[in-house]
Amino acid sequence: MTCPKTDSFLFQYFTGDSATRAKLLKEPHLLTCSDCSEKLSELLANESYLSSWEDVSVPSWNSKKIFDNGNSGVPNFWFQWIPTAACLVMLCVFAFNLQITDYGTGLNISFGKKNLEMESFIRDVRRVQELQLVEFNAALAEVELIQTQNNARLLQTVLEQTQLYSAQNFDRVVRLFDAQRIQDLEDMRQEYQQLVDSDYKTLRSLQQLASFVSVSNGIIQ
Amino acid sequence: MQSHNDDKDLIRAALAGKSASWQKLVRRHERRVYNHCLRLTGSDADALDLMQEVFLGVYRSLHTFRGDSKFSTWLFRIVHNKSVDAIRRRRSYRFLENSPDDESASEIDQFPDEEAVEPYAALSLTQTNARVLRHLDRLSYEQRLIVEMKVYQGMTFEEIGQVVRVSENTAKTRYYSALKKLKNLLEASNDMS
Repeated sequence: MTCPKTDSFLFQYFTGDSATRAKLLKEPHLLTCSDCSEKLSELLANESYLSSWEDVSVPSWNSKKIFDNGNSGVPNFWFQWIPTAACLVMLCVFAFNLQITDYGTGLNISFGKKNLEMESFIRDVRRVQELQLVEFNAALAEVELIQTQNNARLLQTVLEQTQLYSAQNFDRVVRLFDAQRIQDLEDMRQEYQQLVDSDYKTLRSLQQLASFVSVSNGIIQ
Repeated sequence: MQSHNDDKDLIRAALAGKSASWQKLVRRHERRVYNHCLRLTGSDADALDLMQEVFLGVYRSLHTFRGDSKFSTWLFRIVHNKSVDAIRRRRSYRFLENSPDDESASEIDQFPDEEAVEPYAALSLTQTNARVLRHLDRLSYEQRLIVEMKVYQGMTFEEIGQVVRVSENTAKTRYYSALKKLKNLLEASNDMS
């Protein structure tokens, strides 16, 4: 039969300090409950088994080497701030010597003292660039004007030429149509004549036949 | 208490640049640290490397020790951090060595595995130590750490909680469950033998 108190008892025993352990060993329950006492002795055996580890002596090694490699002194508390301080100094030097110049076309970032000669040179270059730009724009406008005029002239010529050609072509077409119409009329007239001629021949034949028949009847009678 | 004050004096002297004080401080704690590292790695060479790394870490951050807690507690926080680093390194090393889909390589609890411990144990550890190590190895890393600090370093659960950054109750629960697991392991190994 398993005692319901065993688990909590053992937990209290093995997680308690030495005073707690001594107190728990004197518990009347432990003296009467075989289950608890048996499991306690088992776990105690485990603890003593773990304690049976035989400490091994440390092989020889040079602990002084660590000390010496660290510049013969454990790093001072303030030493850790040296890199930060160095960074701050560099940042100050950098910030106070930094020049940012706006040249219109963009920002120019330079480090060190202001270079007056360079600035004057850059100003001159900018002025020349501006003049060149004005001249270029004027020349461009002139070229555009000439180009527009030429285009207009060309367009006018083309239109005139096209109109002329169109009139000539129209006359030619009208003449062609007229000639064709006259030809057609002539053909129709000839065909009609032929038809009339053929009708006339037919009538003649019929007349001849009628006269022949009447002559023949007279003879018979 | 005397030892605690002595540690503080030695630290003060070491910070002032006295090499002898530093060495004395190291000598005072190296045995505990070395045996901890040995139980963790199962190898003399690895334990020595890890111990040196721990003391290098101690040296570098000694100036940050304010003396609020015992030096041994502070020291074991560094030991714990370095051990975790070592486990991560070992894990990534194994990851490179093994196939990437090897699940055991990604489990922190598996460090060091039985195969890794056994050859070293045969070479350098006594039979008792090898046996203890084999059983400790079956515990999860968290349980093992608590057992290490409670049984071998004699720390209180409050101190353990400070080092591992868990509550006192969590530390107690882990310790108790580690003992129970160990009991089952021992029973199983007795049955087999």
